[in-house]
Amino acid sequence: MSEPATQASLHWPDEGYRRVPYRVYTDAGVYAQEQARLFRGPMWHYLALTAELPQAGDFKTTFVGDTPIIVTHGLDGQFNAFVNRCAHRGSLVCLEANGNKPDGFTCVYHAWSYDLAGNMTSAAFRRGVRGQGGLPADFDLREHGLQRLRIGQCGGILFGTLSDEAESLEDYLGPVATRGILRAMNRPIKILGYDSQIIPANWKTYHENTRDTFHANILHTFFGTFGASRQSQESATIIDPQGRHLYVYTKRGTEVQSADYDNAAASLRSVNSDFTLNDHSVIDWTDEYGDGCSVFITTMFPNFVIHQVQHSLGVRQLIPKGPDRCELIYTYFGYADDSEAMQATRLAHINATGSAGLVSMEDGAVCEFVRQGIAGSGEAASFIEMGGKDLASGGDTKLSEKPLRHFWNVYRGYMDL
Amino acid sequence: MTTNPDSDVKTQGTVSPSKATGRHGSGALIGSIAPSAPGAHSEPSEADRRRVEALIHRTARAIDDDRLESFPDFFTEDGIYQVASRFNVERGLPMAQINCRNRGMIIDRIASLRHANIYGKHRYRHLISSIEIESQTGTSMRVRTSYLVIRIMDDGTSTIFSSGEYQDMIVLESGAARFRERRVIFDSKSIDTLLVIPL
Ligand code: FES
Ligand SMILES: [Fe+2]
Repeated sequence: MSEPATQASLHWPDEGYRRVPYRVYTDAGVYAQEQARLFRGPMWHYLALTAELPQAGDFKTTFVGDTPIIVTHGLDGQFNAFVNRCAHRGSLVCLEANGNKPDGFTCVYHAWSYDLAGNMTSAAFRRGVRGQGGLPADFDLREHGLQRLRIGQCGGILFGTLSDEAESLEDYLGPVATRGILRAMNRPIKILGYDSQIIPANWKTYHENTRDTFHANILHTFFGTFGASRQSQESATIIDPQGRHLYVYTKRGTEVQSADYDNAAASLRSVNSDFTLNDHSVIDWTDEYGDGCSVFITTMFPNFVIHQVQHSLGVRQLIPKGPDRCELIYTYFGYADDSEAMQATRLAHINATGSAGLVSMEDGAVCEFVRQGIAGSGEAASFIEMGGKDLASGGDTKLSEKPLRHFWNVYRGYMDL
Repeated sequence: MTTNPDSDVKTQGTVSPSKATGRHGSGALIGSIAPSAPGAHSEPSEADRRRVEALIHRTARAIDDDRLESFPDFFTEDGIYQVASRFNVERGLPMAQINCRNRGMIIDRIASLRHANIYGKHRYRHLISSIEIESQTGTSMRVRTSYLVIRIMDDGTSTIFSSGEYQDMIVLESGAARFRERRVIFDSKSIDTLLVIPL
């Protein structure tokens, strides 16, 4: 169902996608429009991993944008997703993070009940008492189910959309996101745990950061400080034909010497350091996929990420919480056939990623610095021209903001801004 | 070798509990722990209780005073330091936000936060309560403690950053109490912005 157009008032600079007016990060009207056009709009959003719902009756609650969602594993073996909002008067129907309820859900407010597919099964006092009260005679349970999402699966990841107009999941993912997802989700997985990070910044600030390949070795200096990474490693950024999704990889052990690099690198914090680790298990890495990639990150429009950082594997769900706050949920996993030693290695490598990540913690901090910096910025805009001024330029090097130009191009299209 | 600034005992590499006969060479166990057989439980003595409490308080104070370089010294050489959410622990999920499997990894974390990581400058204030020695086996004790950590940002904002409990295994090595294991189980599912200073 398409929603009536809401239109945030915003002047986008004439340069287009190589400038971003800071008001897109702060404006309540833009936020409301994103909820309608992106999160309830014709695109697919991360819901859950099927490994989180292995048994019939299993459920978990989550969000698509602001909208609360329940995901279930039905008694018929099918997965379902529906809005966690009672069809009576809007209460949450399910209050728990996860669990198993083969009988479905009963709203605590007035006891309307729903099955695992979101169909309404009963209403308390439907016939009233002693001929008084109750629902009208023409009340039809079938008309009062919970609002369902269309769902689809790729490699054990459940995606959903609230829009009837979204293309198929397969078409939405396209070849690049599909390849990135299936590379990681190539066999049954095992959930290792969750990390939730509250980022005091607009959700797009974080999402841009995941597409910003340029900042990695400048802001994140753990690998550099302790001698495990240099900007001169072989890497590439592959963007899908529509510019919505991309993956980026780095191959450890492929450093090339170049005078350019050495000159530029002299000004970075992370080089010329004599630090060494007491324990190398945080960076000891073997090539488990046979493609040489020590880091492989796939990023989907508008805000989903699946990562391999060494042996840390995870999906990242980004939940907007108003214009200046978002929650980043990492779900870490390994493979069901991992040896004990491999699981221990993955758990050790989680030291590098997430809210306390030795490599990645700066992302939360720098998003906050951006939020603080753009306060009072009026009509000011950012500057995104590393690697060129258009969508085609920038090659596949990490030292390019091409993925950001594509993001803003796609964003403006969906948002009509 | 590092020196524990709050302890009167120098750290001298790994001392296995069976050889922890004290530095005076008398063969007498410091801290009057009964030389019980492995697996036997006993009531902790007053002196042990004081050592345990001092270790817990001194560790918190070292963090609050920004003496982070001394933090690893409160651990044995093979000491484990983990920070995990109650959400994960209750679900039997093994992932921990911080997962140091020995003192070397703790030293590396401190070096990283001093020299590599970028974050808004802040400090902590720990409030410690309800220290409870749950059991004692030989020279090791299982201890649970509640904590509250207030985070003070450089811009002046103070917020409750974390509450939770320490689940410690504390051993007496050469008379000095150290953590063989410290598992920090934080109550909230979420971490605000980032976790860099140890809890
Ligand atoms: S709001 Fe759910 S039964 Fe009334
Ligand atoms: Fe980053």
